[in-house]
Amino acid sequence: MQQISDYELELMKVIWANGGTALYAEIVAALSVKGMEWTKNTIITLLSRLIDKGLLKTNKIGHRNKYTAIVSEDEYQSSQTETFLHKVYEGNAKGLVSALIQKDLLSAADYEDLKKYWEELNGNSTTGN
Amino acid sequence: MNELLKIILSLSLSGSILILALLLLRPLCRNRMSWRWQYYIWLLVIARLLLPLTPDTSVTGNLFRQAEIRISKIADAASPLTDKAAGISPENNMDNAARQNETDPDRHFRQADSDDMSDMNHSIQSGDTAGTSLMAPPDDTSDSNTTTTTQTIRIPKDIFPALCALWLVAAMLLFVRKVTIYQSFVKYVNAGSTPVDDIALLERFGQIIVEQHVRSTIDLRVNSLVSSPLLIGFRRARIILPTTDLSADDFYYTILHELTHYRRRDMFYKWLVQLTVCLHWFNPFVYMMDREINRLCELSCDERVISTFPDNLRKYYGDTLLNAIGTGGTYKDSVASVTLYESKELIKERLDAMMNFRKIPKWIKITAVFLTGILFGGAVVLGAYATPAAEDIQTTYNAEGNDSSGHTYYFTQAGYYQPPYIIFLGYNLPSSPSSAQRVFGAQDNTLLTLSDGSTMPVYFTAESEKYMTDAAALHAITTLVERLSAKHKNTDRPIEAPLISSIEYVGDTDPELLAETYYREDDLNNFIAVFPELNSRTQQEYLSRMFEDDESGFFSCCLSLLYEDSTYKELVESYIRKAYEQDKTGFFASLACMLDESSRRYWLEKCKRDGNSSYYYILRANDASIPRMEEDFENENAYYEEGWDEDLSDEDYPDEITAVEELIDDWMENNQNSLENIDAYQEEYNEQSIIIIKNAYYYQNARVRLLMDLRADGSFENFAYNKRGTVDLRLIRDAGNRIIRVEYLTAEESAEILEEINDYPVTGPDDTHYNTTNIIDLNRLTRQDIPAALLKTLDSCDTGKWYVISDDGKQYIYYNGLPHTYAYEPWITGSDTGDLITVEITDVNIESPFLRSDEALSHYVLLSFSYTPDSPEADFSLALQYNNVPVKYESISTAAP
Repeated sequence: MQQISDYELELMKVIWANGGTALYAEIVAALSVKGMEWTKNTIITLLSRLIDKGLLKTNKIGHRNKYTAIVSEDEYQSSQTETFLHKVYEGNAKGLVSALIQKDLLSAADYEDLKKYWEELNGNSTTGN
Repeated sequence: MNELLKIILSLSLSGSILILALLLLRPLCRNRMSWRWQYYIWLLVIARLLLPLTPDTSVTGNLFRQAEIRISKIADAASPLTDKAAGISPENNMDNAARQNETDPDRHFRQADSDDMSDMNHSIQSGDTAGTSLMAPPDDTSDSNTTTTTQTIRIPKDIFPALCALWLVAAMLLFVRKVTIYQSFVKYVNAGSTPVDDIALLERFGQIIVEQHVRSTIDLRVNSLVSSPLLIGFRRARIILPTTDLSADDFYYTILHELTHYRRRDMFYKWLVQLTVCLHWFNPFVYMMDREINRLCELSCDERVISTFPDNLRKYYGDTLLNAIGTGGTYKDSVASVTLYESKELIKERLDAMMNFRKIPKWIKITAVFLTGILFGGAVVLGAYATPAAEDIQTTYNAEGNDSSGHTYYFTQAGYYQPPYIIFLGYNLPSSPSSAQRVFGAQDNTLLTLSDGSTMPVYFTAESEKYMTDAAALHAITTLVERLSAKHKNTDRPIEAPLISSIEYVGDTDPELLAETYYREDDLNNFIAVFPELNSRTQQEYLSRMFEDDESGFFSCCLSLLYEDSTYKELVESYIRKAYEQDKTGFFASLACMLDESSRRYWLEKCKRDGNSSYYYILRANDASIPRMEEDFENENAYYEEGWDEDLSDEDYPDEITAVEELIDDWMENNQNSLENIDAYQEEYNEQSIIIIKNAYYYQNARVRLLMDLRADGSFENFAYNKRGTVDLRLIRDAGNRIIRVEYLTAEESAEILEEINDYPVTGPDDTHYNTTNIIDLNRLTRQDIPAALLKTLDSCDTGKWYVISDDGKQYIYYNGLPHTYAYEPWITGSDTGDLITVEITDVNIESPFLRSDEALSHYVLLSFSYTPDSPEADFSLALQYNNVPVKYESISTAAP
């Protein structure tokens, strides 16, 4: 997945928040709520760059363009994490998690939740086998 | 010469003249006219270079047509390919076209070799019994090089398609190359560019777009390799900057400049120029044009940008231009992207222009409009070569022209048998020695002493020159000239300035033997020379042999030589019948123009009766239409001169009428017998100051378009429509059927009637008396016109039903209860079971305003009908149509018991 700029990500977030698809007018409205009053040229330019990068597709409804996310937020996040993991920790996930714990970015409660989730996942796979 | 090639060359020539004109105007326009005008005026040149539209007579069109005639002759003559052909490179096209103007003169006489029938036809029409005529283009303007006539340029025929293909392939390759270069440039620039992520810069960019009212979205990217900011792409435009490291002002002005290009659609203009350059790749002037347009593009763009600035800000724009130099890389598009700057020289000029910028005064604007008009006019007049119309081709065989001294000459040439020679002699050379030499190839002359002691100069070509000192030949020429002079004594074209184009020694061979040899060798020219020497029986034998051999060229030439023969008419008559019966179209066509007027009418009638439309049109086209049009013209002129005022103006003259229209009109006239009908009204109408000229009515000096002659009951006595008329009239008659009043129709009434006429095919004058042929006789009647017994029958008929009533050997079509007046039209279709006559009755939807209420019953159709089939035993049936729908009818016979 191609890297996207911060502003492009803002647009993606707007579209994801809108249920994965949004009209231009909806995007403008959502952006102005966030305090980002961009010109039309900027928004359309960024949207078409996202289309070029394969994150969005567009289809016309009447005269209006409807933008649909090809990539979901989850997919995007995990793919970005993976990239990050490989880039910074050279694939060492343990290092990443310990860094998160050390920096208190992962609370004890979070840790317990994850542990439970992990065991469930394993248990399921055992029964599956 | 290949038509396409001629069109292209003529466009190129016209365009070049305009390019030169504009380049010459440049110093005058500079700093005076707006750059914008200077930029867009080139569109006119491009239009001239691309659009082969041309008025009927245009400068280059004429030039090319003249060149063409000569070239075709050379091409005809020079059958073997010469090495020179290969040496003609496309770049020399223009040169060649020019050089071809001074052609090898003696080739012209080879034209006489042509056995083209139309040659003969024309010479016959012009009253010349034995001549083949050829064209002498009357221009002496390009005559400065006559001394080079000894040099022959032979151009083989098939060089033209080859040149044409070369031109096309080169143009296509060039254009494809330009497109691919541009595409790869765009691809390269895009691939190496990074989108501008700086939201602040993007926003500034977006603000300018809003400010400039640009509707589309334009991407902003950076590529450090481009040499200057540029705008690429058509649908998804992008501005590529060499760097984003610009001051706010520089960024603003740079973007403004590029957006101005975008708004003006300069990319399209540039590509249009590129297309033109590719199509006219052989023309050096288009490259000058390309450069000039590029320069003006930038200058006018600058002009537009700064026109919105206050004076003190202009300097900053100039600074931006200067700063742009050297900021970028070296990658540059040579084709058609619009950039901020292209060269340093141009930057200097642009800076100058900017500092000189001022608002354009009003008088300059007016001048610009005028100049545009003049240039546009120039572009139109320069024209282009257009494929010659049929009549142009014909005129090329008319050897009439004006020589430089303004004298009209009529050059005629043919071969004559003058033992022991066959002499090819033309006469009536143009008096200007230069055109005599250039066009006809007269090289030298000597004086002939005629028997009456007078002298006459005789000219020789390079080919015949050697006989100039040959006493025997000169003697033969003298005899021949005297013989011809005697023959032509009483014509308006006496023998003057003869030109001997070639002499062939035949010794004392028997003419019959010569004729046989020439006939076998298909040598028409020599054959014609000896044909008059044969005895009458042999001549007729040859004619019948030619007819059998399908040698229509020989046939028509030889038959026309017998013009003064007593058997001529008889021969023509018998052969045209044979040609008609054996369906020999070529013979029929050539014989058609030898018919006299009465025979022609007979054959027209016969063709019409036989339904032989193609022969019918041959007869019309070959003989009647052209002279008759002239005749019409003269007649109308005569009336015009007798004090008709301007209402009979230009538009009435037949030269406006196309030949086709004329044919249709004639056809209608012949079918309708309308002449008789019109004549029937002549006296009556004259009393009302309505005059009849050539099937058209004129009232108070204006041609009548609609003429409604109404009886007291509101039915038509006469109705006429002439689409070239200008006034619409209504004639009102009293119960005694005398005309009591003439009045104009109101505009509404006319419009309504015209609409009907256009809806239904009732063209031509006098449609109510419309008889398809002589043999159908269909006439409108009123109740007063019929016998009382029949009237009784009519009264017993139901309203709203169609009847065909046979009464006393006559037939009537009757219908009562028609809401309006009607028009009718009969036609015949044949079938195995006999003829089917259809009578179409059309409700013309006009409520007659003159209908008295007590005559409500007169809303009826009453037509008398009779039909005489070709052969008495043939059967026929009658069908009725009402408003295009077939209707059933009841047949009633009132045959007395």
